[in-house]
Amino acid sequence: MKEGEKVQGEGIKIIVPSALKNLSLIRALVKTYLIAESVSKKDILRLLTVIDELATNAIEHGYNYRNGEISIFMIKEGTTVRITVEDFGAGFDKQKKSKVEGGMGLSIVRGLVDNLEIETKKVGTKFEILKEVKEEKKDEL
Amino acid sequence: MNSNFELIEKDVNGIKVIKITGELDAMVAPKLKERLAKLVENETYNFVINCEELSHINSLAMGILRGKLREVKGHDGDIKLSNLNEHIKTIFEMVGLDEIFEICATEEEAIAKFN
Repeated sequence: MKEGEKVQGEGIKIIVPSALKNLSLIRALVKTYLIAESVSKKDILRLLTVIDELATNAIEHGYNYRNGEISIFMIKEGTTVRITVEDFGAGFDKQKKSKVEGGMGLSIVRGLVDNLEIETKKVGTKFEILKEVKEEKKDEL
Repeated sequence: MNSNFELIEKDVNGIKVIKITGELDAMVAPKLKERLAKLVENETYNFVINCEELSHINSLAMGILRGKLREVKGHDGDIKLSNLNEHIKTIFEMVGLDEIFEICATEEEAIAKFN
């Protein structure tokens, strides 16, 4: 991880080198934040799946497995978690097909969140998700 | 950082039972693909995949399982899944994989379905 800082006193921004080996690190960091924000276990599992799919997408499609950075911002506002996953690579191509085994990632993401927005930037792609979450009871943490 | 991914295999009545443990993400999914490919190459076509200790699965790994299912069915074989936790079962249902895989509550039930 190159950077880990509080943003505007609320959310967390992390920047991680784009590599498949860092997927487990990304999940662990996001899980730690969501536990600290008292998000329910069920919603944490769902958000970890979402993060994993979006980060994998950035590594595979954004950078085509080349070096780069993935920026993840997450914030819990009331009962809503907002997460953005951003790469600075080739950009999102709706026409591009995944490898034979792929093609289900964004369907899963759409199914697990309340809103997904995809912004194709001049350089790279930004995915933003919103999800209503329940809080974990304190004595269950 | 690792995902504690592991494949534990055993043979029961000519059926290859594979227990997947840990987190099955895009980093380790090729290991599953390679192992299944090797087994199919050696004419193993009946599988039970026990997901009791599988805590996370990526869509790439699901696609690998879907591809191998098609392949073994071409040899009159099958891949049955067992012990999916609620979260993973939800994801399978979301992309319709629950309609092409037989999903059983237990490993024993999945093995029995082959007989």
